[in-house]
Amino acid sequence: MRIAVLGMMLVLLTNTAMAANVIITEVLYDPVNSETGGEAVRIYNPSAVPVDIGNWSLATETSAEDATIPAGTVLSPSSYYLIADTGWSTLKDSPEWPAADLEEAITLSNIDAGVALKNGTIIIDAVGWGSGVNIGAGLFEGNPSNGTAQGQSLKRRFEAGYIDTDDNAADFFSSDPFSAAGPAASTSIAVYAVIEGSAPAIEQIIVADEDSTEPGIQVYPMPKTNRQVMITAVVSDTSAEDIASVSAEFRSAAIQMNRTAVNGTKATYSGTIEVPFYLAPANYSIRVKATDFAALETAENITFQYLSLTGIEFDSPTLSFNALPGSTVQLAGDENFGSQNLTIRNIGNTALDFSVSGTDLAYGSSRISAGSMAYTFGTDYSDPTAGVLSYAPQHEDVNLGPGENALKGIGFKLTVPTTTVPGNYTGSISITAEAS
Amino acid sequence: MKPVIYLLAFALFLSAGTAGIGLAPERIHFSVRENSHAERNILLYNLNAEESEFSVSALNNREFFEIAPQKGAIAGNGRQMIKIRLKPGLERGKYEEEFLAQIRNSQSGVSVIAGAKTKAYITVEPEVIYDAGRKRGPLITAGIVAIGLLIFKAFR
Repeated sequence: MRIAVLGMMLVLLTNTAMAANVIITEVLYDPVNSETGGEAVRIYNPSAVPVDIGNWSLATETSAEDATIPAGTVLSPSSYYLIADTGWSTLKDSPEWPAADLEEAITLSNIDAGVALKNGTIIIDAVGWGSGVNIGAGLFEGNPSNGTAQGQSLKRRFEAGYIDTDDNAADFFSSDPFSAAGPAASTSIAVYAVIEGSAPAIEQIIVADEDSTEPGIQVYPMPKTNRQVMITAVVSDTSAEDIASVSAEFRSAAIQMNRTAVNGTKATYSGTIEVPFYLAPANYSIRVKATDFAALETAENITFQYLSLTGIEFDSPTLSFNALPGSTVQLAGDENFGSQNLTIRNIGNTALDFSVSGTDLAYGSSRISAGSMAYTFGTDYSDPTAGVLSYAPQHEDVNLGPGENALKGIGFKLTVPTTTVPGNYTGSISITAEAS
Repeated sequence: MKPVIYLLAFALFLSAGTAGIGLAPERIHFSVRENSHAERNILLYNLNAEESEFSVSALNNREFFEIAPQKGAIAGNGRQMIKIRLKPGLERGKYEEEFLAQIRNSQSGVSVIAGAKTKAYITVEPEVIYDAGRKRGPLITAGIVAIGLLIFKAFR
């Protein structure tokens, strides 16, 4: 791409911790007067250019689109936009507080919750409070803040500019609502430079959301099989032909994306990332980078939640005891998947404990009680993970971690009472996996 | 004298190949107001090569949950999305629940049951009271009662 600067070159020197994009600056989730009518979220445009925030939405624990900003809404540079619950004008705790730019029913839970500002599926900013394990994916950044007392709001720290380190615990503090902690809404005259030739813009990044009941983007793991996750990016430039390449980066691995469609100034690129089945459940980011032929680059992130998966697999197709009445037979387990001895494999991405239960063994009207069988996840039957089979599930702290080949042997010992009638006895054993 | 041999055979696994189960996610969250409902999905994988029967159940407060489908069959190496709906009725507070999914591979009268659990964390917050289209919280209601008492006292 030829670069001809017709106006002036604008160089912005910014601290990397200073917010440059639209951010959430304040969240009032626990007002004194009314939980329904007194809650609010304030966003701010710290950049030097107007931003079209039309159709952007707020995601909460209650809804992936709890409030939607009307189409055509443009947030001027250094300006705030206040989204408040329906009834804000009369139910807000203080009449001195600013009027809402948008009143719409929103639900901000007081405990272990969060709110995200989204443009389509792209999370622009998120603020959470409480315990991260209980907050929905995409509703907080880094560590959630500690929260506020009733009547206080979570406010973003301000030091010459709003601080945005992508860590809510570091960036937010409890404060009197709408007290001065940041810049007043701008009244300055904006000066625009006309620049011909610019870096390509990433307009949209798409990763399919596989669970519409949760806010954010969820990706399900598959047991013992790595997931292939398709990522699509819409990139624009003065001409789509000026775009040289688009690539994605996931966990330090670069993935080349291929152009799949062109429409004037826009081009669509697609690629596939591979997610190991045993990768820990967490929020992960994919960084998409677009480069033009003048080596100008733009990069954007998309975050998805890789869900947790509990999965187990047994290797032995047949396990049989041949025993005499009054005898005891043992079948050892081993950590060799595919051997004749029983092995359990963790094929999910969480550490596992097990609960074991069973039925009596039956042959016609004859029975061998479930309690005649013992099991162990260890090397012998005095191991802490050993037990005697019963109808009620017994929990064993095995803590079998995830991995590409996470194996554990399980052994059984059958003691046949001397009075047992000979025959072919059948029954069932339940082995249930649960997260450690 | 020749010893008499007795044979007792207990077949634990009779299916050819491997057997197993997958359940995702391992934990889900419900955050609702009193007398409202919410819905979450869990995904169940059948790792048996053959079609297998499955069942899903809540272990503690089953009357508060609707599970659909609760039982059925999944094709070999197939999967089934399960919807879990929290019904209205839980009082405000925090609860925990466990959902047990089991896959039964049944051949020749021998049952192999592989199971997996998903934990649910439930937060129920105070109910919203609607009045003429405007939402009001419980503090407003308490305030009205307090004002009423003051007026009653003043005119006694």
